[in-house]
Amino acid sequence: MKALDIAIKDLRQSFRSFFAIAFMFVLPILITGLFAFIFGGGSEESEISFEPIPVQVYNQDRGEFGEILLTIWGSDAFSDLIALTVAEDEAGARQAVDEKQAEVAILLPAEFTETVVNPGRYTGIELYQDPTLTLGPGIMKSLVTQFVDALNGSNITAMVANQQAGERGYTLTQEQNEALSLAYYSAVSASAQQGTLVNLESPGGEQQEENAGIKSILGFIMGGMMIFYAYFTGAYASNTILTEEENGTLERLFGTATAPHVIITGKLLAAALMIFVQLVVLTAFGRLVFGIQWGALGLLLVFVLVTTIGAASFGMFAISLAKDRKQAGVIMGAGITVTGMLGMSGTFMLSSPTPNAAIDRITLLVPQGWANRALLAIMEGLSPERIWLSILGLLVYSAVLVVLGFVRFQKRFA
Amino acid sequence: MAKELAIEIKDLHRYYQDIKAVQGVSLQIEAGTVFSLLGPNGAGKSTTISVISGLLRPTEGDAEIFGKSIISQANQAKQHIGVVPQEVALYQDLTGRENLAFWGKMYGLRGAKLEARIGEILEIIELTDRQKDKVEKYSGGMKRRLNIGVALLHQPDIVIMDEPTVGIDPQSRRKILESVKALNEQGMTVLYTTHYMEEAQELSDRIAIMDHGKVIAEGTHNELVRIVGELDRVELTFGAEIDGKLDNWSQLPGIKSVTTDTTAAALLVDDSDQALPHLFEAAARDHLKIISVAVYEPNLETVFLHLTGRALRE
Amino acid sequence: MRIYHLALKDLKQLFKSWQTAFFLLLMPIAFTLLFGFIFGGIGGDAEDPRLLIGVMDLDKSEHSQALIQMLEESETLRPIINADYTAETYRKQVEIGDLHAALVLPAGFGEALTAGEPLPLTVVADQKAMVANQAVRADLATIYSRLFGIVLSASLSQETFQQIAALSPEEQDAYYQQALELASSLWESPPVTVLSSYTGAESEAQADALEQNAFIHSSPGMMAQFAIAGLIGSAEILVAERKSRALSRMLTTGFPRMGILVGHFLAMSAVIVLQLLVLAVFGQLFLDLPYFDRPTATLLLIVVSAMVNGALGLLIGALAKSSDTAVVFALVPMFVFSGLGGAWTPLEYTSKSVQFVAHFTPVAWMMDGFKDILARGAGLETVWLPVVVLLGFTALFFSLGAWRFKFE
Repeated sequence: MKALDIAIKDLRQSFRSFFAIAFMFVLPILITGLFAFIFGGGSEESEISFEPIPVQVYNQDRGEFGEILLTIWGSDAFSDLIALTVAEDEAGARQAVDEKQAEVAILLPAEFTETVVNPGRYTGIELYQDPTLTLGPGIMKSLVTQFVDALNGSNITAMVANQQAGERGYTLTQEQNEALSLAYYSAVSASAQQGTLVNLESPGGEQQEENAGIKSILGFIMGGMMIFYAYFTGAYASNTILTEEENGTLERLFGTATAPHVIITGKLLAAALMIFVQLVVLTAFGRLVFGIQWGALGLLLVFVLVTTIGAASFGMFAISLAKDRKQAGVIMGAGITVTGMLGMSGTFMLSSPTPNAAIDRITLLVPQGWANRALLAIMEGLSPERIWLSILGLLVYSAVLVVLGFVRFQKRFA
Repeated sequence: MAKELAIEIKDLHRYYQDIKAVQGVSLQIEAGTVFSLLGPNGAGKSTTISVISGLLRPTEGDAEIFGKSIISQANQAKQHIGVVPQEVALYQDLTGRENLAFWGKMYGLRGAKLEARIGEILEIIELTDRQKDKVEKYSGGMKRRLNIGVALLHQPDIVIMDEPTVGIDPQSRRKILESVKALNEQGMTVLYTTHYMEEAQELSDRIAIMDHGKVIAEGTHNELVRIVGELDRVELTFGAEIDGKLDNWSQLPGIKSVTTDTTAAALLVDDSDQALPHLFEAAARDHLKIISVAVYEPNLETVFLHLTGRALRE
Repeated sequence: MRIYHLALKDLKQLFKSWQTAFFLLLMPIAFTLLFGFIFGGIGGDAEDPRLLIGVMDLDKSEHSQALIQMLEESETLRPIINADYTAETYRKQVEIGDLHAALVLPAGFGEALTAGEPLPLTVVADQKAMVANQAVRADLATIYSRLFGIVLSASLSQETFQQIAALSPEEQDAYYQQALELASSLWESPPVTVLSSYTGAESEAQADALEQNAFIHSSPGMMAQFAIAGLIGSAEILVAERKSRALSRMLTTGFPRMGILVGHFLAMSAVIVLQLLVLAVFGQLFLDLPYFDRPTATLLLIVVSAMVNGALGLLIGALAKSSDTAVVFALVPMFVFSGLGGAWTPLEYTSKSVQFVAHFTPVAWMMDGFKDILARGAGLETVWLPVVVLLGFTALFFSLGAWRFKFE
């Protein structure tokens, strides 16, 4: 009963503190909102919106394929993707990239068409790009490759057919060669009409959109932030033990025949209540304002409860390491930040072209990593095994920490 | 028939590593009395109080509160005590009423009884009008009063006050002293620590003088003063540094002891009227110009000086 | 002279606490490494940084085998085949992160390809790795469409020949096989190739190094972010000075108010210059980042970046009433400026309007400047613009700080 009284008193104090409110609610929502803005560009759409990629093309091609490429890219179908400028000369095209007017310059060689239509010739298309960028130039490279591959394929078909026929003493006529090309292009475009050849699916079996929906990205980010700040709240709540010690109220509490374990339990309870409120408010906010899909409601509730326990225990343990408020400040500022960011580093994989798979295990060094793993598994609809193992892992980790923290505080006040 | 003992301290020792804060203190405090611990800063008063309140475990010895050991029956013992800490120990971001409600619960009060007590305490400490303000908005004196009020919530038999008047204005100080008297009149036992001898003198039935972790004298005010007999205390201030020139003044007729500072001296004398001419003469001989002279009748300050060779506030 | 003493006093106070070193240096270094690690710059397989893709071949046809062979030669993907694994095992492997992706080649894969109707393939991949997944999708699509091209070439060649001369069923088979082999060997060096080159990269090796250095973004990003975090300590000193009435006392000495502001500003800027220098040297020595190939540009950018943050620190110290609020006031701009300014995620992933708004934060300009130096080998001729803008931010923050600074 006394423990509950202490917890309620702590809650009352915390919800009057600008600092606590800022860290519990304002910062995580602010950051998610920031990402919603960054990726949503302030638009209402749920897809990531990209501006057309500024591209310079210098076309030296003596034949028609260069022109065809320019016509395709200049068409309405590509106007959302490419902002095309036809350069007067090579130097101008390169200069535009050097001066950041364009992300990439595509230099079509003079012998482009000749190479494509005549078997046995070779040439190269240069993509001159800004090295600080990867996305736009990457898209352009795959567009050029797609176009060139169709031409290459037709050319190679002709080479194969002519060589094989030649080896058997026959020569293909001009009409036969043209028919081959036509057949090749029509087969390729027929298969292109069928839709994409490669679909992505999450391990939980969910289809992944070509441009991953902004909501799922926001979900990952807000989930990460929520856990990060829940652990911060845990430390903040336990830090009030040191604040009370410094203000003399802790000694006075001992003077009221309140045993240390009751006080520590009260603090733990306060932390848990604060974290629970925080997680419920943040998940609800994420769902209602950002439209985040958190996954199955029952599992989400389990996650909230377990993370509440986890963050409260971790906070108690972390603060038990501090001698005074100053050290606790460092633990909160640095310790919680480092472990928190390590724990949510899976989320940072978002924007890595070559993510390091090992990070998934490294995050498990810190309890935040287990919580993140559980939430992501629930959001992605992964196997029950993974979800429950993550939750169990977090519980075990938390149990160890809370015992250590409890014992350390008990000893200190004995 | 002997009165019931509220507090009995038995050969109490408390060490912090090498520092012996309390060494062998034994005291008996009768129920219904005001008992003061008097001594300079660092004498061991606060440590003694902390042990009695169950906040520190004694290194040796024990203390009993109405017969309950503070070591083996701590919780029962604590039920009898209300402690007023030296520093204001309150939640500054809660209101006065919220503080009282929380501490009341910590003392085990609940429901209507708690509400009634809060109302009574607010009346006693004269904060009824300001009960809904946050403590951080209170003046120093108001905080002190609330600090005391919290300790009275559970109607303890004993109130322990650790220097409750340090650093406050005379008006607030007076209010606190009056409240101590009022509490005592209601039958409460008060254990009071101070380094102001006037407070000890005004409030106490009995006084213990502490120095260097030990009780060097104990008794009623009159009993203590009798230790120094009829000695008067003379304080002299000189126009220049003394520089050891007073070393042989204790041999002057009627002079019992001399303690010196750079430009001042305190002397215990049999009779100030007879001693003063000798002192002026000696000063003239030693080329010391006397700027001021003060003569005091025997009091606790004199006792402390007599027992330790030092002034109480050094 | 008094300004100098005031600045020196601030610095002494700061460096007395070991947390200063922690916030200023250890944290940003730790995070640079962490981000580099996440981005695959360290800790991965240095010999073969390709993404691991588990392949389960249920078709076991020559076409499915050919696809696997082409995957082996991919620059992005590295196929992993384990005969003991089921589709479920592969899925689990992706789930636990042992594989980046898993691909099942369904029965009938080869036949459908021969029939000119390639089956859509499903790849299981961790949804979080959004950017990497785009690469998986693009690379696999290219390989698959090339395989389709090869099969198509072979079918067409055979059909065309059969129009000229008759082939027995055995001959048809041999003809088709030969066509497949020929087409795949020709695809190894197709007639038209696509080559990448980069601004500022003088050699191909340099271009490759740039492409693979995962720290080009994370290093300046962390510098920008933690330069703001470093302000917490400095701003607290300001708050403490006001609370302890040391500030009022300073005013009684006849020290002009502007002098006090400049003194604090100098101290904070000096701390951040030191921080950024250490981080840049760390980047140069351990992360292969060419910070000091153009030292004048780098140093200039470091100094003005520190000045912006120094002025921001003054503003925070002016606005904060307690050390708690100082922490919040430092962390909010840290998150907003770093997040919006592109310290975490490159701004190229965002829309033009976001990029426009982002450039209202100093972090975006710091990032522009440092990335130009690191990736493009730029010098003063390019960096002057970020420098001028950052000086503008400095003036703005300093004026706001001076205006809001409560001396009493």
